[in-house]
Amino acid sequence: MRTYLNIVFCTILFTGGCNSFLEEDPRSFITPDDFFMNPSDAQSAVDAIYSHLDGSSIYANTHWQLQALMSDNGYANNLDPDLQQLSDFTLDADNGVVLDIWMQLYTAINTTNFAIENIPNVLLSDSEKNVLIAEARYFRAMFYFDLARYFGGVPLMTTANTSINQEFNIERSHIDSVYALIIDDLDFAQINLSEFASYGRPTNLVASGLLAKVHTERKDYLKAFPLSRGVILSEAFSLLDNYEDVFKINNNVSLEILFSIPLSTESPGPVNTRSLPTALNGRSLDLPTASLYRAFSMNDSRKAVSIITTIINPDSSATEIEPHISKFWDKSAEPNGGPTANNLPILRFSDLLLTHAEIVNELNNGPNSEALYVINLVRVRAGLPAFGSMSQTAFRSALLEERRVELAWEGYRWFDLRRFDVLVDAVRQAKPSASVEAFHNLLPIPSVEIAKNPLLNQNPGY
Amino acid sequence: MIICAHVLPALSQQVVDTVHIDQVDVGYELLDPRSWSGAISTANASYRSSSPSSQILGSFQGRLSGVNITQSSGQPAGEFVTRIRGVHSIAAGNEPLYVIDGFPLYSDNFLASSGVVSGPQIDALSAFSPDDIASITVLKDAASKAIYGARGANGVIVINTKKGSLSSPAIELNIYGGIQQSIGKYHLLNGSDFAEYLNEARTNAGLTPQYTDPQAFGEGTNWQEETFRSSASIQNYQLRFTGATETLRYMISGTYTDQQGIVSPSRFQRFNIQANLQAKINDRLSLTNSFKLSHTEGSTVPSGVSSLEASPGVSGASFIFSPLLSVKGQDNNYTIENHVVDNDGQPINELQTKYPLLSPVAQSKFAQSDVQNTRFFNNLSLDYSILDNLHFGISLGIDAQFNEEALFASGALNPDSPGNAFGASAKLQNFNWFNEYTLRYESRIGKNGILNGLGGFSLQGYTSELLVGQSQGFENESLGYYNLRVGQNKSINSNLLESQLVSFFTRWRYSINDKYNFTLTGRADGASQFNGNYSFYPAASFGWNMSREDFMTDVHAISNVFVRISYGSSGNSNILPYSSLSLLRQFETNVNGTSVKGFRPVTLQNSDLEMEKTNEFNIGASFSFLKNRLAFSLDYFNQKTSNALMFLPQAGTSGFEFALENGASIKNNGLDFTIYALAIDHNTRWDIALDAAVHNNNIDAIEGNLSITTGTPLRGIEAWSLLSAGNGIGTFYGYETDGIVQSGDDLNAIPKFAGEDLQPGNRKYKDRNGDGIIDNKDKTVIGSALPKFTLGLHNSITFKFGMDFNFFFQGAFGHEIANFNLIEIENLNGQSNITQEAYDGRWTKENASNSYPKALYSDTPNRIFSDAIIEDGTYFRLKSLSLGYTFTESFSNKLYMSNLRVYISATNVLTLTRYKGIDPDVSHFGQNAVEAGVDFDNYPNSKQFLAGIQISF
Repeated sequence: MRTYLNIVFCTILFTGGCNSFLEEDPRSFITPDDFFMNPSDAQSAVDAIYSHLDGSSIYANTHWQLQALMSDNGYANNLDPDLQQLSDFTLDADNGVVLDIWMQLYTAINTTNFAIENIPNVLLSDSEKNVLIAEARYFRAMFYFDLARYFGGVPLMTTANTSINQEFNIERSHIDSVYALIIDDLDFAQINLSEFASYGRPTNLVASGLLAKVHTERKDYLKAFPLSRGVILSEAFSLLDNYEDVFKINNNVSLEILFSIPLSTESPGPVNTRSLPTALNGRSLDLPTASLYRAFSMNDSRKAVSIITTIINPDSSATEIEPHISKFWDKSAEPNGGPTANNLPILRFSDLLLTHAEIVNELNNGPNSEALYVINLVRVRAGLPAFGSMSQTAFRSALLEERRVELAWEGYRWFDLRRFDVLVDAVRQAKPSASVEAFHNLLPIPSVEIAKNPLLNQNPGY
Repeated sequence: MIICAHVLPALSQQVVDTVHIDQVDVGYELLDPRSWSGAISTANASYRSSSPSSQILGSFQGRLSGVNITQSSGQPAGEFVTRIRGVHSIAAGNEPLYVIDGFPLYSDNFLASSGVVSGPQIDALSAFSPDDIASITVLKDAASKAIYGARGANGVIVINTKKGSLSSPAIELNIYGGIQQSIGKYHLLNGSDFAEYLNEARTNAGLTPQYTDPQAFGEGTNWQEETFRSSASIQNYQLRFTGATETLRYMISGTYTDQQGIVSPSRFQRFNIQANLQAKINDRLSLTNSFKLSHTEGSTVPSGVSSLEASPGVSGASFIFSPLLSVKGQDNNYTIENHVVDNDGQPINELQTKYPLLSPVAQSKFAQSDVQNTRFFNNLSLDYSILDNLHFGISLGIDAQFNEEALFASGALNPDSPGNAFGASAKLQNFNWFNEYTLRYESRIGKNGILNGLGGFSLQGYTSELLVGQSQGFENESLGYYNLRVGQNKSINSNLLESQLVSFFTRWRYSINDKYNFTLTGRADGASQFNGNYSFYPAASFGWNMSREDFMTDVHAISNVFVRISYGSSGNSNILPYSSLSLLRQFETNVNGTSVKGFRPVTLQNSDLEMEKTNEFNIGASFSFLKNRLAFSLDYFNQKTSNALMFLPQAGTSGFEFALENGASIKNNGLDFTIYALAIDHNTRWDIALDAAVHNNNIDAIEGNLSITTGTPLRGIEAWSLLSAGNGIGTFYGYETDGIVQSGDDLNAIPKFAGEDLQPGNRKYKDRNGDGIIDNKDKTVIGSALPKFTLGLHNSITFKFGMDFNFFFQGAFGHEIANFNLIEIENLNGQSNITQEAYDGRWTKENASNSYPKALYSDTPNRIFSDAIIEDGTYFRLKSLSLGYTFTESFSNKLYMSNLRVYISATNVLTLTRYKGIDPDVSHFGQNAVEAGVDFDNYPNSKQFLAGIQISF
């Protein structure tokens, strides 16, 4: 029909014909075909990834909440049924938080794929291209690493999707294939990322640090060991003297941070709004369990930083309140609490030190001096006595407990409990009413995703 | 032209053909309605003299069978919603195509507004004055619509403006003026009752009562009275010259309209010039030109000032605001925020923390929102007769709109940071051009047959260019939005949308003896928004004028019988340009103080996207009896849109939430009917006409069998509208209430929301899946926004001595309205004023109500979308009433007039409804069909009382 009409009418009436008349030229929008024409577009495609890491991202919103609520660290104190389900371990495949994680991570992955697939065609030198591709691959690995820990073997999407005619309905890959991609991406990132990337962007050492964590998750301690050790010995990172200073807005840029979610007044995060009491413009929605409160020993300097139990009234009197998490509240920069511009660290040097201690403990069948040295760096800063030698099992427990208090509310706990395979026991102890089972080591595949893509099979238990 | 004192209401064609309308415009051709075999409705100009409206669509409300017009707000010139034979699309518009003096246009408001002004929209057709309209024809079935192809599916409204006539030159002057009042108010608590209520709510929540002597507050402030003007003026002046010579016919008119709104400072003014010329160049060549130039200026009432989007605007705030606060505080400054007051009436703390709420009076004083529109419309047509029976026509049309919108919200509205004023200004240019070539042919075939052929080719292009600047934080506010540079945090945006349409069309009519009429129509359209893809829309119809059969000649009781049947298709291509493309968007992230910007894809390309196609079957008949004194007409239609456009959820692995696809099929069926009676025709003449439509709409299927919940968040409520097979478009989706928890009930046995602390006096919800907890899975269909039955009843009585009396009833039946205002004013959580009904019916230990919960103070909003806020939207109203007197010719001649008529009229006089809100004729989301039937923070409609005079010289 179309061809016929064009021949009969358009060639007679117009020079150029109807085809060009009906062709869209979106002069105020860029299409994928118009992009990657200039070298700067390659940088732009990579920079767009950061839009998945701002105050509206899952990292600023759901990630830390889920880790706290689906663990012995926290409980939900609100009527939001999705969060209540996480806290009570009654979650099902319709849970909105779980869907949000799935959708946002895959959207972010598509942004990385868009950069990775197209940058090779840009007029840049190979080394310039590789730096940019490495940055995109770092993030792709980071997103897939989270997806793999949340859901297990997930569908591996490695193409840049821009058309509805592309195939989106693919099967879940085996978990090994997912990790193969993650490791491949991080290997590339490790080699090609610059040591001197501007602050807030991953460097080669950050990639090594993340890769160490990936290998630890895979219990491949032999591969993990040189990586975490290399990062520590590089002296590029160090612990700040004072634990409290880590969570100051002034220290959004600091030596202790390998990678953090960049927040700002334009794009603040909700962690304080959700965790602080009303008097500090919070809503007391996510609260610490008594078990977490007790986990801090009396002379642990992190206790007062992490948890607030009194409020100073305007007349300087104090009011006792239930324990609330206050570690992200920078009292001097944001005295009124509320939405915060305080960055959320998601890969912190103390995490890496404790990970290294974990690796050594497993490789060496017990903590050697190296393992004790790194864990004690963390403990001593907190004002606690250094650990002496102990058994491998005892060290495991001590290490997990150390991670709990050092990294509370930072988005680690559920991942840690499942890695140490103690989720069920730990949660039952802290929250006896929670109906936690072994299958809660993975989240359900969202039911609407299964409806759209019948090739997806559900995780057991859901 | 002389306005005829003899008023005929708008009637559907098949009735009209019994009462002397000899020509209707069915698109491209003026035809004798008796020879047309499709379903149409038509009205001529004279209906207007019974009850003038300042807007074209306002004049037609209820007057065209099968056409359901809703006024979305009472803002002067506010947006209208027009639905012809139902709702056919989810993602492409549902507004009909308008063909104004031969020029096809859309009236979509989203293309006519830059979006800077957040309040009620100004209707896109408001530039045109209804006083210039000569006739209107609505094309309803496929046989009639197919000639407009890809733009016909939602129906076509063909409007022709007045032309010069061969009678002697005439000058006409029409003036009317009057006042308007709000159509109603909520009955809310006065000061002392509110204080009592707050005390009770606090006591029930275990808090200390706030007030020692609630009675001391007396009446308090009635915010609705403070907000709505008791009378707003309206005036309209029109001067028209008409005349003709052998070679030139002309109509030139000028109109000025000035309508105040019932909420200060809203207003609408229109300056309009229209010139229609028809010139006969020679025997073969003639020329027609339609020219319109209009300038409109309006002020709207902000509905949620941009910087405070979640906040209800002027109307909504007037319901919610505490009656204990005075309009101005002790310091003589306007009260801004909603505070609890102490025993002395002094504000102490904020009532609401999550959603800011500003005094309605302060909002209308400190926020300014203005719209200006200059529209130039011209359509020039040339007709050349190649042979006596073969005509060649060319049309060249331009419709240019220059729209300016501006908003300024003073920092006074933001007491926390008073320097934080917000200003925005936008310029939008829409340019629509049209070029069409037609050939018309007529030939006798045999002795009795006449064949008419029409063929054509047209090109149309549309360009829309937008420039918006805004800034926030003004050191000095005196310049308002006129100098945005004074502000800080400036941002600027521009964009350009372009679309093109290529069309080929033909229509063949064959008539035998004027008894059998066959029509074949076809149109192929190619549209740029659809990747240049073409769609073809054919239709066929047959009409049988049975009264011309020999066997009818002896049946004297029956004057006319006409049967028609048609089948065919029409389409909808009304989507934004670039909808089928993958587009990148720029994102900016602040990474430790460094701005990191980058582009990434935000939409998926769909190069197979097709225009929608609606197939429709129509069968109808018209009868008239007793020499046309009694007539009725009935049409049954059945439509199916099989490739309806909608945003379908995508697999998450794609990286996209939604993509536009031809993913749904939608069915509409129903009946349009008209009954006409000339009840009295003896000195006095009484015409009665009833227009009615029965209608059923539902989604037949959605690809992948998906059910989708949607709905723009309102007051924190999301996903309140359902799209799923088996339900209509505009289905409300929420919880069912189950009465109130009573003392003595087993609290553990009652299903509740997770974490809810259920007490006697709380509302219960139905646990539909029986799992013991109330959650999303217990939501269900709780209402439907689309009326099942609409009705207009017209009465026109003319007395021989010159008096005419008209009254017109209009109604819509069998639908629901989601009254989101009740989320606040019947919530009983101590955060807002409440209705007297909720207060009187609230649960207390003594009065164990089962309809309203107890007063319970709570500062966490407990806003649940349930059937408690779904109301029956059925209404029947005396829409207009008028009384006129035409002076005798001898009297008017003494005043050198050829005709003189004076009249008074009233509009929206009386409404019968069970709806508790202010007005059931409402649509918060305007033309959005999926979110139809919502009342929230709406600018209320008004009652109008007018007096007018019509003079011809």
